[in-house]
Amino acid sequence: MSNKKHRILVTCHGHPDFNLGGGELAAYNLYKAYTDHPDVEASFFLARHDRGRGPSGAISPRRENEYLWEQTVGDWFRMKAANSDSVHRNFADLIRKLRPTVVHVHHYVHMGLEYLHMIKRIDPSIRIMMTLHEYIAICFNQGQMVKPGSNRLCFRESPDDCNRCFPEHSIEDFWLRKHRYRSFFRLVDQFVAPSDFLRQRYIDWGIPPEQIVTIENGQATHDMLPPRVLADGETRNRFAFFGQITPFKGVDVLLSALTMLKKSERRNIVLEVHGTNLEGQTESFRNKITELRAPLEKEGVLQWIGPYEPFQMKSRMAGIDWVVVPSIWWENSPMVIQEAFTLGRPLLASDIGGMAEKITHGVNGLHVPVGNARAWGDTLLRASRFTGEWSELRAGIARPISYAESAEAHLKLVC
Amino acid sequence: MKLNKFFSGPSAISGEGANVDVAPRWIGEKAEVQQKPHEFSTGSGQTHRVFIDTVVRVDGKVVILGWSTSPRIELILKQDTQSRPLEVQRHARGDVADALQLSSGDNVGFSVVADAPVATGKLELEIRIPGCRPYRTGPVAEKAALTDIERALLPELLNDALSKLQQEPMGSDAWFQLVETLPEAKKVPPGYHGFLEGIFVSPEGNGVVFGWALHPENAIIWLEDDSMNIYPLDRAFRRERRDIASAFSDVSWRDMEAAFIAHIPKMDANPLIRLRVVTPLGVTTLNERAGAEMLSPDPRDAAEKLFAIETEERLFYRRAPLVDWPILKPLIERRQVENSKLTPRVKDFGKLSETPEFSLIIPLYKRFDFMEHQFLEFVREPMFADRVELIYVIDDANISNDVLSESDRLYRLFDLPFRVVSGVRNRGFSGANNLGAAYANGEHLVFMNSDVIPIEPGWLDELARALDDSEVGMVGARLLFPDGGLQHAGMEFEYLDKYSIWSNQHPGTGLSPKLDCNKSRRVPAVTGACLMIPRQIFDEVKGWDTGYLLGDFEDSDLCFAVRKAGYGIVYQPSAELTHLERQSFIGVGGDNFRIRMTICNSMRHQERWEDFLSEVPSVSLNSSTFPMHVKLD
Repeated sequence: MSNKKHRILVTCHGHPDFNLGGGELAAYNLYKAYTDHPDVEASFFLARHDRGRGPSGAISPRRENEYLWEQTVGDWFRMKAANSDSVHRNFADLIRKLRPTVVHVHHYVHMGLEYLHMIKRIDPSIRIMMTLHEYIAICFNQGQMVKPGSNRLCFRESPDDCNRCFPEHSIEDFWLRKHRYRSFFRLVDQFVAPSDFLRQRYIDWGIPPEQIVTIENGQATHDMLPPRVLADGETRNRFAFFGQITPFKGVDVLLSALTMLKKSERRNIVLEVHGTNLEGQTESFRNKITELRAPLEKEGVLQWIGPYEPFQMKSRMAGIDWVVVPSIWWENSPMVIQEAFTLGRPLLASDIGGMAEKITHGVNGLHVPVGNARAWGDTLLRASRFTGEWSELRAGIARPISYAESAEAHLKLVC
Repeated sequence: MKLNKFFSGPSAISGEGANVDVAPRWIGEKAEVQQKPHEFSTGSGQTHRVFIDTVVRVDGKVVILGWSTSPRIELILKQDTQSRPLEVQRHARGDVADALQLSSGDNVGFSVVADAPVATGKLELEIRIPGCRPYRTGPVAEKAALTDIERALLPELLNDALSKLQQEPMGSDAWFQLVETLPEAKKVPPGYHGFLEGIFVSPEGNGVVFGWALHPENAIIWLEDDSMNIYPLDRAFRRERRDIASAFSDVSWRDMEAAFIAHIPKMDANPLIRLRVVTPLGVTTLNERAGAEMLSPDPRDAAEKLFAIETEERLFYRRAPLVDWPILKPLIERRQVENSKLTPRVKDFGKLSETPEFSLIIPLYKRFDFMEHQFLEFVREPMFADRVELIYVIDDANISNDVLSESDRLYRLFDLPFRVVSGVRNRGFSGANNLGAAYANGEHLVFMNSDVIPIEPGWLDELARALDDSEVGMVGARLLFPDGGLQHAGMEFEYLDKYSIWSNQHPGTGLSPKLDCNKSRRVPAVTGACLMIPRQIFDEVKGWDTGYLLGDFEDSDLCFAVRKAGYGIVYQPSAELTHLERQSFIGVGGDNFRIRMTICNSMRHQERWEDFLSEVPSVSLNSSTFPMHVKLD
């Protein structure tokens, strides 16, 4: 039992009021859970914000204890804040006034790494906890650890390896990039990885193992949904993809898989795509998706449903049997996996990284060889014929940890 | 007679064009054969005519010119009681053939050049034509001098003058006097060619002329300006020109070192330069060029122009002392004087320690993004602000404003006090370091490149520890490449046959530092990328030498100066830092420029420190003796 009263500031690259990314939601839900925790005197939320007028550096209130910071990154290669004056003025003022004992950093993208130093400069006793959401410090290719162009999986960074992916940046530049990340990361007292896989990648990169623990993102607590009611002779043949449609998320692999099946085979399969952000992708990728979509939609195999709000997740999952995660990058701990578990839906997922870690093959879902459309087609076909096997996999799902449990696990680290 | 007047004489040999030579005056009464042709009759009724044009005594020789319609003619010189047959040379006289309507003028003319028996007294000739009665001319009139046209007919007349010329230093009074006696050649003999490709003039009043010249090996050839200053080409740097050799395949000396680059010690801003040569026909101008390109007073810019004059890298060591240093040295010295008059701008960010143990001096040139990376490491060093006076020297006016705003950002973020000294303009590595030292108050000076980044705290104390030994005058750090391989573990010197220079070498480069012995040790020299020297010794050796062109060899120069003052140089492997070496030189010229600069600087380096360079180092780092520390499990 601790009698310490924590004051916790959670920082995040976006506010879920405006950006519904997994990282934003995880950070915000944790902030709310801190607020409710008996050991916490006060908790605060600072989210980077874009009002469309550039990085003014201004900090403004969103609601009680929640602030927005108009900041951005001027040098993405080195993750430098665009408005450095704001770091030692606005941000420093915020720290001095809020007097946090812990700053739980959920991201530095869009904000720059410098604010980590400012926290310690103002009060070295402030503990910095950082949750890592992807591999941005390790990999310049949007933190995916996938080779640009070929989308081949990447297993390690080094200045020489990275220079081959980005010849426009010299080997020395990559050394400097890593030096900068590692120097600022040295100020972090405790790292949190939502998956063991990601934790190991960061240990390989240089974070001491004793400084990084795995804590899964917390989930809302509610009961599992009942299984979808089947008509006579119907099988568990309804699959759904939730999330962003980017080249890394593998929706194209999924659509190719259906296309490669015989018409008679796929007649009994329904895939729903609850996707967002396709409009933000390159034209060639959009065209590829459009071409794959059209014939499948015509046949009725594919239902293109589109974006969803978090509150809609429950109703949308009610009507399907499986959630699919066909990502071609490693992933960390995809939010959709925890949501599917919470709502009682087994998953089909690529057999790598955070997906392979979170889903146990044959226990609460099935693994599919990453990026392999043929294998995805076979698995979709096989799973679409399940009934009893599906029930067994559903029974194999363990309840994910709650927001409160996650907050508790984090607070134990800073006692 | 002024040489230029002599040389400016008219040029005509064929008779066409205006030969305005003033006819030399005659001495004595002309003999009959000098007034009209003498006719010789043979027994078979053939008639031959002979005419004497000229009789001259010059330079102890008697010269006779005339013509004869008989292909065979003998001349006998009579003076007093002496009688001497003369050797007769024949040449063409088209004019005579025309006048007499002969079928050909070939071998109609004749000439004699013979030692004159005595300087004064009347001369008489006996002319013999086979089959005819010999003819005595009676005393002949003599001319005071030869005309240029006449001289051109008598190449052998120059033989003595040429060999005498070769004895005299070119440009000396005696040489000038000899040259003045030579005629201006009316045509350039075969095999003599030349071209002036360019002229650079330095703001210091000297210059460079470059081009090529094809001529016999021992030819007397020189460059000459319009004030008659003479620059012998044998003092120029010469090299072969394959293109010239193949263009003049019929010239037997075509494979010679035709190209030349000549330093001209005194040159006008707008010179007229002639390439002059003495040929068997006299003196001639092979080529001339007016005007020059003005070199920048900035030694670097001037060097870029100079180095662009083509020269093989392997020959550059010969050229540098003859051509490049004579131009660059005064520019560099002028620059030093000017720099010393500039008022540097000094700005302190925060309050620096008043009694620093160390002054850490870091010049900035082109890139300054490394500063933040250094700060990220400096802030980890306990008591850094109390113990260390951090001084950045802006050695590049182009980045001055950016560095100051970056400095402001860094100071506000890291709260680490430091000083920024702006030298107003680029002074090079040595000059920037000296400038930093002028604003330093530490007991020990640490000179560090901007792309050197500490790995762990404590490196300053490790360096300082090596200086506890009072015999040690300077200490260098272990530097690693970004990939972790050794970049510097002490320097040694190697003679590069490829360029004929002594070079600074870093033994063990690229190897794992685990293969390097971890004990501090004496070395021939250490790199200037990161070294520590007590202030007092730094002052004793008068700081960094600023006489080199840009950056090169300054570190070994400083090491030799410290060793000459009686101290040892130590390498301290326990002070370990990263050196992003390739980054430092991103801004400096292309490869061609760099290698030429290095050769240039190495020539100066070895002139100053030849003894140190050629000595067998007491502690060799040579690959065979590189103190490897290999663990055998």
